[in-house]
Amino acid sequence: MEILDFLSRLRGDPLCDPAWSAGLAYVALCVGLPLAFGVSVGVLLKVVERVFGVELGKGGH
Amino acid sequence: MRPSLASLLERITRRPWLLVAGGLLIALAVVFAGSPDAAAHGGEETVSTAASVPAADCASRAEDLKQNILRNFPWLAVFGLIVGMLGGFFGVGGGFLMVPMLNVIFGIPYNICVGSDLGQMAGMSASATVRHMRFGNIDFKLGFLMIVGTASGVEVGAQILQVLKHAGTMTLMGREIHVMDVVMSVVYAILLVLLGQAMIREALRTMRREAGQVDLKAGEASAGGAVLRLRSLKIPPMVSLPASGIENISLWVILGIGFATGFLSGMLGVGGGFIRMPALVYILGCPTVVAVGTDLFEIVFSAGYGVFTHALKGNVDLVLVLALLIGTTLGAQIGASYTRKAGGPRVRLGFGVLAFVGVVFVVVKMVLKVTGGGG
Repeated sequence: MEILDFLSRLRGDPLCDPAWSAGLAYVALCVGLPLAFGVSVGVLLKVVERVFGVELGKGGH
Repeated sequence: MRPSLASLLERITRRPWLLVAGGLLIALAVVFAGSPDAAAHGGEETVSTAASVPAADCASRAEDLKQNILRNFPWLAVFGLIVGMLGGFFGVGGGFLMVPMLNVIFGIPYNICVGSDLGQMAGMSASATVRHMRFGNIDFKLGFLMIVGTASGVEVGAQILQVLKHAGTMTLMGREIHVMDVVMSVVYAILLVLLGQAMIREALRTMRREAGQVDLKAGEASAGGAVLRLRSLKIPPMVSLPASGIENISLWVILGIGFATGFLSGMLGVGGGFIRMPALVYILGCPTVVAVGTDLFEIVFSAGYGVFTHALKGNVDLVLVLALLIGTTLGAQIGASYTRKAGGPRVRLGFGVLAFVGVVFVVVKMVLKVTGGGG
């Protein structure tokens, strides 16, 4: 849960803070976290397909 | 499916306004005939972004939003799972359902829904890219030309959402309602109606054609005529796309398609594949396999750039992105495994019906807000 709290705090308060600007860590995580998660899942699913010899559903994007 | 039901559905979908009116009637019935308890707690209020809100109140509402997302993390993941299953089943991203339903069910402001959904979409498209390596089928020249239009569209869409975010409130039936909520609800209702009726009509047409019940040459000829007129536009500069087998096409047509889909991504948080794919195949004349690869290339870019520009505007909630990613990743696998058990046209029919269910949710939420049920 500490990770979630950290992620939640990272955005700051763009709604109420007139001087708010996006921090580098926040922007980098916004772009990097989904991409890293997606690539990891993609690789994992490919490994599962090869190891178990099954074809998993393709799904949408 | 019995032919009588199919023809009834087809007749209904020829008149989208009937469906909007029907949705409104259902919503009004829920509001006026439903229990007071349901009306009083019909949904959580979204966080107002109006500049006129006092600073202490604003900070308190922003904190409420953070706590709302943290507290509902497991439910958001379950929600992502359900949307992912539906998306996997219908072979789409599901952004068109994700954004309005996040607002309707969890009371998350539209700007946060859009920014975070684009993050989820970037992850899903990255996963799809790794798994299928469809990049081998990309027309890179077309992809890069289209990116110019896509980037412009994403930015314009995001800027419009930013303007709406700061637009404050308006009075509807004596109640203060955020302008962004009203505009986004109306735009989403229209989008879902158009999408739903197009899918249902196309599915029913295919089912009837397979049954040998109709001659579709006249309708197809008129649609093909409109497409050919776009394809034969001679506004310079003209470009050739050898990888797609296209000898000569106006650059403006390519930019226009990119802009339209990018705009939808930036403003509404949808992938835009439901426009891009048919546009690539029917307007530009790309082979389907190239259209699939180029579509994925475009969605990686539009979602990636979309989440970047929305992050700069403070519209991305990382906890929400993570919850949705966990749910949709698992859900897409489950949904896709069931697609094989259903026929193509029937799947598209279900997709169309689902879009109308989404319209009803959006309309009910809006009516509840206007009448006081939604806070």
